[in-house]
Amino acid sequence: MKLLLQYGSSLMIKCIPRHDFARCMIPFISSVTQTSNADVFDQQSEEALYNQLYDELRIGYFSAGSDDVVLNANSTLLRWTGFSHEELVGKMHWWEMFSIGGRIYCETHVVPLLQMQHFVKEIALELAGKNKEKTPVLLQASLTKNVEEESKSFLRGVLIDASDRRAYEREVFLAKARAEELAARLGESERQLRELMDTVLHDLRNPLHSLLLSLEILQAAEYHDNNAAQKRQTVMNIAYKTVEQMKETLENLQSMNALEQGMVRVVAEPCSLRELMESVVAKYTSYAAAKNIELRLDIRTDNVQRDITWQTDRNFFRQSIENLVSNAVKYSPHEKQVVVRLKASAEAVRVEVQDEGPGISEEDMKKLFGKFVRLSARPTGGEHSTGLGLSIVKKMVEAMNGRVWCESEVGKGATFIVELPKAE
Amino acid sequence: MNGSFAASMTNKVLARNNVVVKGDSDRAMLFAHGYGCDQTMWRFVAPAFEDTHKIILFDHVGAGKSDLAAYDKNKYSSLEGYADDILEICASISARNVVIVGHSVSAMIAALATIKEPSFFSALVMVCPSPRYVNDGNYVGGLSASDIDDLLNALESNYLGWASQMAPAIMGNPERHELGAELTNSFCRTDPEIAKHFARVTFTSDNRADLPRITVPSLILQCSSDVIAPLSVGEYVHRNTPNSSLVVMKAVGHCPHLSAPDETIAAIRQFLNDKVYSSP
Repeated sequence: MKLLLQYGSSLMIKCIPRHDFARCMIPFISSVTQTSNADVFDQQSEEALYNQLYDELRIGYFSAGSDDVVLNANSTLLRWTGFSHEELVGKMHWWEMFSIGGRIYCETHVVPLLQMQHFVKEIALELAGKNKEKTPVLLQASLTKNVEEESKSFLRGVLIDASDRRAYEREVFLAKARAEELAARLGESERQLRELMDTVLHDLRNPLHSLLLSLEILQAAEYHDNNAAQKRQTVMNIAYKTVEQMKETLENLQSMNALEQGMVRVVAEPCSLRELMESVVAKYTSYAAAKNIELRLDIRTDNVQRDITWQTDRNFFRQSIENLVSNAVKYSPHEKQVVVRLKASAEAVRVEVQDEGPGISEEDMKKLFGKFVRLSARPTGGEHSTGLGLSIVKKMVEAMNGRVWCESEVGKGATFIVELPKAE
Repeated sequence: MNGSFAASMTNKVLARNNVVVKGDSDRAMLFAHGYGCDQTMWRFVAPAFEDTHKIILFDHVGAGKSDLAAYDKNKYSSLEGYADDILEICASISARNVVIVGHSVSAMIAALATIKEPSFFSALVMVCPSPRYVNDGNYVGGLSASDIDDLLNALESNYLGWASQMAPAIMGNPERHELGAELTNSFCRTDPEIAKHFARVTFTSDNRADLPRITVPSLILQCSSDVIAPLSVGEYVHRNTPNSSLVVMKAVGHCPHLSAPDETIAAIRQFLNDKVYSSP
């Protein structure tokens, strides 16, 4: 340190023009006229050299006494803070130059470090100027302790403008946040791809297997058997159902794919919601009856004409409601009720599909509308499920600018609600 | 309780909080460091009491060489979690007649410990205490809510370069032999997420209602020009704490035990002689 000082001093004396040197000495000479102490004078002239050197390098420089009050600040630092020499020197504590967060940071981290190891390096702080403007800086400081006389201890610090570095760090920070978000999205899409693979393998292989079996039975059927026609009919029914199931799986996958790729667009046209709802409920009445479930439609209108003409996408609306109704019947215990309500007002329509099933657990509620999610509920009539139905509903409803959610209490059934606002 | 089970619990607590015990006196002093650093903060003050007291030093979980794996966000979402740790430390080493000295946020943590288990403690020393840092109605804590965000920003900026493998010893400091090399620059570092959480818990705490519940004799050491705990806060603590003494020190800032250890030691010593150990 001493070596550096001497080197610094001799270097500066050589390269500072005589008049500049004299000028930067003036404040110190005038401030020490009261005392003839040679030590103080030496320290002050050293300070003058530092001021000059650091000004040339555009580095803020300050020193402070053991009471933390600023003893000296160079003009670069005065310019950055907006304080005059008179306002800062002899008046303010060095840490008062920083933003309030920086001050607390100084008290809780920097001061302890200085007291313990006598230096700090690369501390990121913000200068809070007189005009409240903030300048990001890096602080490097060194505490010279006087063990005999504590009041003679002093602190020297330099501040480097870190605006560019801080802007760069902000970019790095944002990039990190973006990368983390992307990684999370990739993780999710990888999970979905695995689930897709499972679904395709499981949902298409099993029915194919069953279809193959049906064909084998048909081939081996003995035509002279008295019951042949009846047996053939039974096997044909199974095969037919199996093909239907495969078709449904493929159609669901296709719908999902089309929605995700943006290949289908909402085409809004005036539709009679009453007619649509009646046809959806009619479609599932016999399915519900097979499980002794009462499927009921309840339409309430509020100052809206009887057929409830609404500007919306007919196919999206129909498929959304169909998925909800078919789900309700699929997961309802036998002998229960499923109520479908349509409530229309001038501003919005609301469809509620309410069942009396076991309800949806908090755990399931979180992933309810996700893709390929496996929930704890099981179909009550041995039906099959692709795990896509609700995610398709969500995508379609959102494409119609509506929203869909579920209200449920475990043990008390669940109600799925679709709300569509009036088209602009 | 089964003997070996008790022993293993004791070891767990001592390791969790990196507890260091020196001396074997009937009288004990336990020093609790504040937000930011660790037990090293007491390096200039604790040795002065070694002749007369058993000295107990420790790191709060999340700081210094404590067990970071023991950091439980729920437990440490209020100062009570930290106070419970202090009581466990006292119980583990069967410390009684303890003078508990807490700095900054630990002044309140120490106060909570004495309220919960007054029989463990003979006195409480609060260095730069604040029961609430943020202004609230007529109460002037000194800081505003946006100041806390500003602090969190400062923390964020200073932890950008933080990496877990950097935590111990960043660089040596050969000129200062009194500092072990292992200390250099490391004792104010901790996991950034923990540091931010502790900052939030500290600076949003409100323990004003606890002050009247302090029963042990207490000393409030108040610094001049302390941005974190201004004079009016020290006076507030004094007014609301029964059986308390207030000493306004010449030392500036928030860490008199580092910047003015002699003044700090003298004030504590006088308080102990006058208010705690004086025979009636």
